[in-house]
Amino acid sequence: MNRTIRVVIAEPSAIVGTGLRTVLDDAGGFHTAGVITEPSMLDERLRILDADIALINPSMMDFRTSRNLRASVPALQEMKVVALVYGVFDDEALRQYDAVIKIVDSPSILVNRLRRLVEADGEHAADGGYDLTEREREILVSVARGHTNKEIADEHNISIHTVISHRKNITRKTGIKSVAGLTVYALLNNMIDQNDME
Amino acid sequence: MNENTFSPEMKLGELIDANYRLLSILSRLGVRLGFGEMSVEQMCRQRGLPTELFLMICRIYTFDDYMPSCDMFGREELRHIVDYLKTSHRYYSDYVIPRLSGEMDAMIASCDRLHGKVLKRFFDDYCGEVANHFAYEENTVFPYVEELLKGIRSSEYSIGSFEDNHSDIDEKLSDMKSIIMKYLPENTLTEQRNDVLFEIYRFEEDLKCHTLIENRLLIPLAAKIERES
Repeated sequence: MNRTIRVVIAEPSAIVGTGLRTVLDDAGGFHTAGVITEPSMLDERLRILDADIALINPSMMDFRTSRNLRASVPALQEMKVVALVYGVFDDEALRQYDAVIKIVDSPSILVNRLRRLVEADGEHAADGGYDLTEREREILVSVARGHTNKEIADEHNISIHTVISHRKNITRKTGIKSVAGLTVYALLNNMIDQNDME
Repeated sequence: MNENTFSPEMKLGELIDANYRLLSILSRLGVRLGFGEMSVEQMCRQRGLPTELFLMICRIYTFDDYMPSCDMFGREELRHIVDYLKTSHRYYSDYVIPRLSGEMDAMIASCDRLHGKVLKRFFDDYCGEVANHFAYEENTVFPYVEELLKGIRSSEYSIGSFEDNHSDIDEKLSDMKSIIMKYLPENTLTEQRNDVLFEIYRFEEDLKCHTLIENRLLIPLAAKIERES
């Protein structure tokens, strides 16, 4: 799975921010979606920038925030969070990060650690590839026919939670979110015929 | 080029040279080409448009990660923001969507009849959704803000309800992109598909800026005035 890794940098120093961006650009395979220097903007901007990894200088967080990172900045629940530390830092706070990088680390350590984080996640997913599994195809057909998650769960004897997780994978693989769009996909691939839609 | 590139002294020609997509912003504001050596400040003064607001709009359309703030703005700017959003809607419905629709038709003409029919229906539904989205803002949100600016406060509506109901119209647009790029069979002509894709990408980028202006400028400014009144 060789897709571009989207990174957002949250770092109060513009010089360091620019340096990190350059390191990632040079490494290839990364896109710096944005550099945030204002702590108050963190959550809002992370939401908009839609990143795989947030590279954060923990000194951007005040004491209260740093103790419960993902509750204070909910956007972080959707991504990997990596700490960039300049000096000695509270261990307890750092445990919430998926990885820690020190300012004295070499660019290659930074790059490799970020890549590994995203790769590990890909292997963890039930199916990291882009082809739909047989089960996902069945679920997709039901979605395209306009069935609700509850109906789909009953039809296939699975939990609603599982239906939602299949739907997430379908969207990740196809790049299609709306039911209408998935219906078009199913029609183009002859998974349903037009009579199913009328 | 950075945010400070855009200054009041900048010539309009230099502005477009820095980011040619701003051509459509100028035309939305009614600035005709043939402006000679006119500067941003002169143009704004001529149209009674706050210069800082205009520069901010230019930055929004130029820098992906630019975050506008309305801290230094007040009623005067809010009035212009509403006007801008209205002309922007007109630009989408009179110009962008018909153009996209024409390109869509040209592409559909080159594809399998059944596939064409399915795509056409998807696109028409999307256009209906966009029209509803704009109509709500034009019939409810903008008039509300205009009344607010006149000091009239409607009892049942507030800008908060807009914030809660502000729907996305970019989801289906993005789906359409995936479908045309990845799933429409190879027999559909590539050039025609490219034309549609270019158009969708441009529209998407424009809508993203438009939404940013609504969320970061219109809503907080209107909320500020609600609190004052």
